[in-house]
Amino acid sequence: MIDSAVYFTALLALLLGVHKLWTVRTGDANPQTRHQVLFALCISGHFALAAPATIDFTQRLGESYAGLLSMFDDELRTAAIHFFAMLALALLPEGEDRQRAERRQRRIAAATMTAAAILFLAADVHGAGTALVVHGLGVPALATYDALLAGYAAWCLGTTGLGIARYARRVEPGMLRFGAGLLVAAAVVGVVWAVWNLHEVQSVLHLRRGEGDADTADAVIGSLSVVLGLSGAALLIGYGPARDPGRWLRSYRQYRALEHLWSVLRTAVPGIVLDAGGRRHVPGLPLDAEFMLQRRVIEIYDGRLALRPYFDPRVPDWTAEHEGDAAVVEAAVIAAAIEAAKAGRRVGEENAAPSAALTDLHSADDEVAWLIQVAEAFGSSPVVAQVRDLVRAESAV
Amino acid sequence: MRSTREHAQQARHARQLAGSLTLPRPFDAVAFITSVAEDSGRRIELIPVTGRTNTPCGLLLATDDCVHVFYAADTSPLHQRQILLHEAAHLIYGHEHTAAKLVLPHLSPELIARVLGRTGYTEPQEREAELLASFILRRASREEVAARPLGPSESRLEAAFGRPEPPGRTP
Repeated sequence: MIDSAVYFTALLALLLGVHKLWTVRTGDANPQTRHQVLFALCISGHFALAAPATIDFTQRLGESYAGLLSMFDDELRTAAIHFFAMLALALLPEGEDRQRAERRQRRIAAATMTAAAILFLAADVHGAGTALVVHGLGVPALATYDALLAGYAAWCLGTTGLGIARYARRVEPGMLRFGAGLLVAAAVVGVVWAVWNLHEVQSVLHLRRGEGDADTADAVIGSLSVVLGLSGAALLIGYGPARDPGRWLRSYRQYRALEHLWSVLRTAVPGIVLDAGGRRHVPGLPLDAEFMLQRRVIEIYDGRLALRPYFDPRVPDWTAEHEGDAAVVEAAVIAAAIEAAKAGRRVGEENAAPSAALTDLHSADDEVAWLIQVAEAFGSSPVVAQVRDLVRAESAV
Repeated sequence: MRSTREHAQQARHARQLAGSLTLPRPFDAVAFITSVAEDSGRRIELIPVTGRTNTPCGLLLATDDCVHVFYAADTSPLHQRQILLHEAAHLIYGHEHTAAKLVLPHLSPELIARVLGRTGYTEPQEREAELLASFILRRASREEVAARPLGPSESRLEAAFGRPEPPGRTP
């Protein structure tokens, strides 16, 4: 159970890091993105090494290997905390103060990690079962090592959490503020986890052994902190598209509403269809509904332009009673053109009739709304059906 | 099967390229195609065409010092935008000489570098250009939605922990 939870956390962090790398694969990553990726990869590595099953496995490799892997795991965790702090420093206004804070953060992290490595190696730690055992001067060295890492984590996460909280308070209630709140909660739980780790110091001083990563409470609190942090980051990453969550549904409904008109045009003018990479689809369900709607609108207009040689100049007369309903007239023009195209009856270049309604469209939403009106008239208007029958009858003669 | 794989690969490449391009903010297709032509050291001439039923809805004719873009003006604004982006995509991809030789074999390649018409997407170059145009238009509309003004705290939080800023240029 613990193994599954810890490995799941590691996988979640790894996926977030890979996702970040994927989003910047075509260009140079900015410092924030680099810190996001490095944070995710370090924390993922930390959890993969800290899982009880991994520790059991490393014990089998030998006592000294187990000790070194434990140190490597601690260094990864410390690096992850450093990158998290660097992310939060980007909240400061750009300028000399921020650069100074970033330089200080980098120096403290480098000094902490170097000192920790020296202390650990000096302590001459050996694995004993799932615990780490030291003797003689190794006792104060390992105790200092544990105190140093716990102190650094508590200071770093505490100041980072305060920094984010300062900004989160100024943000309007909503998904962004909730995401920032999760990051603050992650920092708070992280401080609790760091303080909890101080009991390692006591254990080393009194029992000459440390639990290392085999402490269940340590794993649970640490996992909780990371899951909160990753959830907050995931909300912030998805914040842009999530500003209007109803947009996907609306786009999908509009996409479906244009289905009939589009498929009739596609049959009449097969060249209008663009295969935009079918893997974005679940059968019948476009993952990027807005993109598919955009393509459908463009393809309908492509079909309309391709049918211009077949536009019949008599259609406006046939639909004179419905002159005020531009969508019905437009649908009738398209329906007549499709029938004429089927019969191979070109009407002539000078008869191309631009629809006056097209000039009144001022946004993509206007265009979709207009085409939906046309599509509805195309499918259900008796006037359009009459025009279609008329042209069909003429073509049959 | 192979064709489907190639199409998916072409689409993936076009999507990546659309994500890396510098777009004007707010997005303007005319400003974009103008900057693409200027980047290649040429001026641009946009020529709206109406009532021509037997011509492609977009046509690009490029010489050494000028890019002429003919586009259907008797269609909707969104469609005109797509047509202009399609022709800009030809310029970005540098679809040179081969198309000119196919369409106008009697003209010197030195005189006309590119002549490309937007008629359908069965030709690989037309498909490639239409894909890139579609992904640019999608990115532009996504950025328009995301462009709701943010407070300084919100934008900093988003920049620090959220999505990286795509390249953009304000006029």
